[in-house]
Parts: sequence; structure tokens; C-alpha cells
Amino acid sequence: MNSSTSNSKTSLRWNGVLFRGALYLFLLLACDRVLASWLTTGITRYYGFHRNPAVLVIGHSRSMMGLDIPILEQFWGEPVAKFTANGADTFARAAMVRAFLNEHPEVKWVIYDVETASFNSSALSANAYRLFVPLLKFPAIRDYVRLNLDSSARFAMLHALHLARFEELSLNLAVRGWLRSDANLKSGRFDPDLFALKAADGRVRSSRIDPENLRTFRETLKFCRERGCEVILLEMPQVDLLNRLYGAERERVQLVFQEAAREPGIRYLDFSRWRESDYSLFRDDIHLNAVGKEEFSREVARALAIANP
Amino acid sequence: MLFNSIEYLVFFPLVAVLYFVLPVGWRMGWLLCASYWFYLSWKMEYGLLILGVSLLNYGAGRMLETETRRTYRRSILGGALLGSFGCLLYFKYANFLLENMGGWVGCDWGISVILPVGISFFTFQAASYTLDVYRGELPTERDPWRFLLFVRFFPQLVAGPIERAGHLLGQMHGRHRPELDNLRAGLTIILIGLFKKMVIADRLAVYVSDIYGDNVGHSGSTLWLANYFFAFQIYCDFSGYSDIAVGSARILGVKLMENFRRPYLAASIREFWGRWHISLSTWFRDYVYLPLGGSRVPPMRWSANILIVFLVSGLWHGANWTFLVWGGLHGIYYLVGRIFDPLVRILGASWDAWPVRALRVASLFHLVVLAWVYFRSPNLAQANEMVARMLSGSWGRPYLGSSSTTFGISMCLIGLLVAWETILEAKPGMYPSASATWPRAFRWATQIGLILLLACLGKSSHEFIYFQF
Repeated sequence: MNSSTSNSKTSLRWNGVLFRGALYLFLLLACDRVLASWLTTGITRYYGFHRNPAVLVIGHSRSMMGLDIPILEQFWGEPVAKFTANGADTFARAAMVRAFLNEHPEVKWVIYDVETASFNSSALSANAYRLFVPLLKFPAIRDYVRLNLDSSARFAMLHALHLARFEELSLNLAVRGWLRSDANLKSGRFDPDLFALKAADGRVRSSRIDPENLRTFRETLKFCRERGCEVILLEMPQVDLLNRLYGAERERVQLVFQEAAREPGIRYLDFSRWRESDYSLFRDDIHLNAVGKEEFSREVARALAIANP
Repeated sequence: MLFNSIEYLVFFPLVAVLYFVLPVGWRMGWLLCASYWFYLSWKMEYGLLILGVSLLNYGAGRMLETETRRTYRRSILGGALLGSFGCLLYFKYANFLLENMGGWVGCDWGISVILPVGISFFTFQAASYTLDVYRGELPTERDPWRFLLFVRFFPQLVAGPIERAGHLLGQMHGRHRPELDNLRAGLTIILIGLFKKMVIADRLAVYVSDIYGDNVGHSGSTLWLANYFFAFQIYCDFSGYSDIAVGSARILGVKLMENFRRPYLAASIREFWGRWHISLSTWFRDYVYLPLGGSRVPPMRWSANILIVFLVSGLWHGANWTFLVWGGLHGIYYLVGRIFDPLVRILGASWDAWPVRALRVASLFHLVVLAWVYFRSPNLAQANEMVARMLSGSWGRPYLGSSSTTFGISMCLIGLLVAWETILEAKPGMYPSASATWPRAFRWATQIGLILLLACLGKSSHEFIYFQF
């Protein structure tokens, strides 16, 4: 009798523990999912997934800091989405283009930023893929992230806790998405002395053409054309010191862009020497500052108007 | 295996569940196997070293039990200490000594020795047992398995706390019952430790490494900022590790000693060392300072004793002149602090009035930050140059790092930490001892909040600073 009562009490106590454990887990996952969903929506808004854009800008930090959406929209008269992320190389861009065009087949133009170092991923952040982790719901992005993750345990963790998909940069983008802010807040000015140190240390990205990068680039262009999009390869501005440092290598890479532009539906606009000596427009050797962004965006809009009257 | 790895997330629950499921007689063996597995995951060869040090001290304890002749007892103790500290000397200091001696005679005598993880911790822990047995303060441990587990209990094996046999050996009995209170408290302590390590320390480390990696041309204000950050980085890194160790052991029913007690809220250097790496400072007090005569010696001798203890403590951290200077600076702070003793007596209670105390805390913090420069710098030249620039008054606009978002988050986290520690200073019983009795809603909100912040802001660094010691 005593033993039976004791067993029943123990059982009741364990039932209580299990119930509380389940409730704890439920609360944890509920908070996680609600917060992660709010942040993911912010990021997709920042990248323009919530709109029905006619124009899609694809690139990395150079177009992120160098192209102004309202100015481009003024020119086009249609919504523009800017899906740009720091350190996005050709492989990341392939996933970005696929993810976006699968969601928005209505896109008619793709502006794809290019540069002398477009076909060399080595000096870009090896962790750039982490910026795309919050967008795992898009299959193209999911495949890309899975390829770059160092362990399947980490991939499982990203599915268990959705907030694990974020880090400060993606949090920043989510907040910007909700605030509808695309502002370039960098007001600094290019410093030739710092650039000289960078060049001396060998920290300037090489212009090496990696065959795998080139193949992916061409496949992405082909994919855009198959989707009925016109592609504009936009070579971004960089300072004269960098242009001189690259020398003939720059022209060698430009031949690749010119060759691509021979295909129907692809145009190449070279702005690499645009106001290359006016350091007040540059934050560093390759990134425009807030003033540079506005002036450059107007210049791009004008050039597009001439090319496409 | 790191505490902040997915491997540990699988390893620890498995060890804990099996520990409580297994019959009592098997539990010690299970913990010993798990501890070996944990340690050998770094390098197999290290296992032999720790086994050797453990057996040496176990054997010395057994011999001391039966030996009554003083000379023989001294020889046994000497042999055990020579063997234990000889290993430490070889692995940690041989290269430093040979390099410096070679430098004096113009030869390159440097040798390449890989430092076994946690060697300074387990040798000190094992040696303290033999010293206690020799002094008659502790009975000899006859069960070799229990002794082996005492030396290599995995939560505190590689970075402390450096436990004493008198406190830990008695808890190695395997008769613990799974208790909800231990689980609640342990989980909270582990989460706070992980938060300190992964969210605060590893985030601050990015800025600190950035500045220390290329400190040329930075203004004094930037260098101060970097060293403020380093002060919080090393605190969160090391105390975070200790928290995870304490929390993990707590879940298994074992209570480890407190290793940190809000050190940056100390108002004197003496108080600081009563709050920072408590297990090491008490070790030096009991086995170095007191045998040297403690405070019961003439003032000059006492000053020398203090300096010796701090210099040895500096060297314990690493074989580099920078650690020696760091220890020496703390020794000097300690001695200079005694100058204020007459003033303290005159001021009486007003010395501890909160505005005066706040001023003392702030002043001490800056002195400690200056000493950290030597701890963090790879060599004396860089440290001296950095200190000179910090004190030169070049107050340009500080460099805030490559990301203003990261900087903003870092500042918020430091603010959060300081606020939390200030609350604990006012209510010291609230954590960690009473964390099991927090109201459920508060405990759950804290734990869930910490888990979500860890998931979102946690960084996955592959090392703890104190592993190198």
C-alpha cells in the first residue's frame, strides 16, 4: 500500500517535471520563431523581396554603398530591389539571382556589379555566406549555405533555433528593412596614405581569373537571359591609384565583360574611371561615401537613359 | 573539446544522464572515462603526462601515510614536487629559459615544446594534495580511482578552478542523486558562463585583436578603449569558463569553489585579488606566501614576500617577460596601497562611503587596465610603446572598429554586465548560490532570454584565453 502510494507520488512528480519541461521548450521555440520571423521579414524587406520590382541590383558592398534606390526608381519609374551583401562573390550571386527571380519572375532588368577582382573570391570574407543564412527559406540560398557550412551539426542547429541564423550585421539589415533605410552612413574620405600601406601589405584583391568563378558568372548571365531579363554589367568606380595598380590586368578582365556583352540582352557599362581622382567621393579605394553614392547613382541613371532612350 | 562547442552540448548531457542512471559503484569509473575522453580529445599524448603527475602525487601521499621520519617525509615531498613542477618547468618554461640564456651568450638554444592544455592547473591541484598530506592537514587518499578523478575531473580540468583535495576529494563518491535544484542552478550558471564567453568576450576580442594586431598610429584614446575592452574580454572569457565548469559540476551534484567575485568592483588591489581567480590567489597564499612568513615578518621582508608571490603568479601565467612585469606591477600596486593605510584609519567609515568607494573602484580599474597591457602584449617593447602612448594624452577621436553596429552592441553588453554585477554586489546571495530558488517566471525568462541571445549574438571562437596557461 505504502509502496503503491509512493510510486504514484513519484509518478505525479515526474509528470509535473515533464509537463514543465514541455512548456519550457514550447515557450523557448515560440519566442525563437516569433523573433526570427520578425527579423527575417525585416531582411527580406531590406533586400526588396516585399515589392514587385522591375529592376534587380545584384552585387556586394560596392553597389550596396554606391547605388541609391530612390534615384534609380526616379529614372525607371518602377520599383527597384537591391539584393546586395558584403563579400558576395559570383557563387553567392548565383544563389541570390536564382532566389530572387524564382520569387519575382516579373523582374525585367538585372544590374550586376562587376570589377577588376570579380573572378577572385579569395580575398573576400570566407564568412560572407553567413549573411544569407537568415534567408534559408529560399531553396537556392539553402543549397548555397549548406555547401559553405563547415558542419551538418551547425546546419541542424540553424533549423532548431531560427535566431541562430542571425548575427549583428544581419540584425542591422533587419532593422534597416523595417525602417526602410538604404542610407549610406559612411562620410569618410579616401586616404591615399592608408591605401599605400594596404598596397604595400599586399591587401589589394588580385585580378586573377578563377575558372570556376568565370563559369558561374556566365551561368548566372545565362539564367537571367532564360528568365527574360536584360542584364546590365555595371563596372563600379574605383580610385585612380587602384586603377594604376591594376594596369593592364584591368583591361584583361574588362575583355571578359565586353565579350559577355556581345550576347543579346547583356550590356556593359564601364564606370571604373568615373571621377577616379576626386577622393571626396570615395570612402576608400573601392567604396563610395554618401556623397559619392548620390552623384554616382545620378550618373548611372543618365547613362542608362542615353543607352535606352 | 570546448565548452562552447556542439560536441560538449552532446557530451555533457550524455555523461550526466548516464552518471545518474548507472549503479553507484560504476559512477566514478564512468566519470573517469568521460574525463579522459574530454582531455584526450585535445591530444592523446597529454593523457600520459596527466596520468604520470597523478600517480606521482598519489604514490607520494601513500608513502607519506606510513613514513614518520622527517627527513624521509621531506624527500618524498621534494620528489613529488620536483616531478610535478619539473614537468611544468620543462613544458612551459624550458624554451623561455634556454632562449634567454642563449641570448645572453649569443647562441640560439630555443627548443620547440608543445604546451599541454591545462598543465598549470592540474599540476597545482595535484601538488596541493601532497603538500596538504605532508602538513598533516589532509588524510591520505587510498582509493587510486578517486584520486585520479580528483586530478582530472573534466569540468575543471583544463582551466580551473584549481580545487583543493580537502574540498573536492570528499565529493568524489558517486552517491549523488539527480536533484532539480542542482539542474536549475547549474543550467543558469552554464548559460550565464556561455553568454559571458560567446557573446561578450568573443565579440570584444575582435576589436582588441584588431588594435593589438596593428597598434601603429592609433591614438591614446583608441588604445585605452582597446584595453578597456580587453579587461572585460579576459574577465568574461575566464570567468565564463569557470561558470560553465561550476554549472556542469553542479548538475552532477559536485560543488566547485567560486573563482570570480565581481573583481572590477574591488576598491583596492588586495580586494581585487580576493575576487579575481580566487582559486589561484588562495593557492599562492597558502603554499607560497604563508610558508615565506606571511605578514609575521619585518616590513622589508614582507614587501619582498609580496613581490615574490606576485612575480611567481605572473610567471605562472606564461613564460614571457610581459607576464613577469604584469605580476610585478600588481605587487607594486599592492605595496603602494599600504601607504594609504594611515589615511584609511583617519577617514574611518567615510573611506567606504559610496562616492569615495566609486572613485577608488574607478582608479583601481584604470591601474588594472594599464597592467593588462603587459599581459596582452606579445613583448615588452610593444607594451611599453602602448603604455607610453596611452599616457601621452593624444586624445584623438577613437577608432570604433570596422562596424559601428558591433561597437554599439559591445558597449551595450558591457553596460549590461556592469549593471548585473552592481546588482549582485548589492545582493550577493542572489547568484550563484540562490539561483535555484529564483521565482520560476524570472528563472525561465532569464534562461530563455540567454539561450536566444546566445543563438543570435554568440560567436564561435575556438579557444579560451586561459587554455594557454
